[in-house]
Amino acid sequence: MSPRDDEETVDPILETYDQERVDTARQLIDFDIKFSHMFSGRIGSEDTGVTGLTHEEFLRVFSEGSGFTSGCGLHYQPSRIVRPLSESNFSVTPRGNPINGTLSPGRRLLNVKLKRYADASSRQLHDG
Amino acid sequence: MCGVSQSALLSCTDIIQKFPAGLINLALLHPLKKRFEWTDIPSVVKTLAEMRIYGLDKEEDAYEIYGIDKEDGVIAVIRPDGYVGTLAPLSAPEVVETYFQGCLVRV
Repeated sequence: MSPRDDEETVDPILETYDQERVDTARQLIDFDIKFSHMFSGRIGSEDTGVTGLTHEEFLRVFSEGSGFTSGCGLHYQPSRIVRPLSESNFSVTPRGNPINGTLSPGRRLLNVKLKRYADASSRQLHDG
Repeated sequence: MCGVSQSALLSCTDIIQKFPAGLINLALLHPLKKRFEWTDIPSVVKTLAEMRIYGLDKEEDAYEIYGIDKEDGVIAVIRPDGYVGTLAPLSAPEVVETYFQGCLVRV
């Protein structure tokens, strides 16, 4: 749907593809560094001198990793095609964790079961 | 249908019709708290989204999953890759128009 230009101009929408991939790759690299430190024992409660992880820390890092592995945890940064909620505009923010399905700009839409009004059949949103 | 959601819906249909036909798909979810008839739905909505008007399924509550209050509702723009582009309250559909103007072209 982009108009053809006579000059050599860059399509800003096509640019977003690159921006989103590079940003996601950076997030993954940063995560990998954290993850490998975790298993080499460098993360932990340094004050007590004990190298180890709390259960919560492990869970948090592990679920972040699962987000990457499954592809479901990707979060695209604000751009022309991802507009975050601005406080002044929105009186109510969606409640809950985006991983569980809460709507959040830059995150994928979770599939839900719905009942189609036209024929009262049970449908999945992603099908329609 | 109550005032705010009806006007938000009609604003959405207006916005959709400013762009080439078929570019933007409309899907409507209504919690169906009060019974309404097929004839109550504005005809422009039926033209754009006849088979994409939904109510809640017995097995799961879409509003709960998405974190939206049934009293508030939301307009959600979903990109072709299934990711959320932007969210707008029902009272501010112009947010959606601004979003589309930033990334779509009216040919």
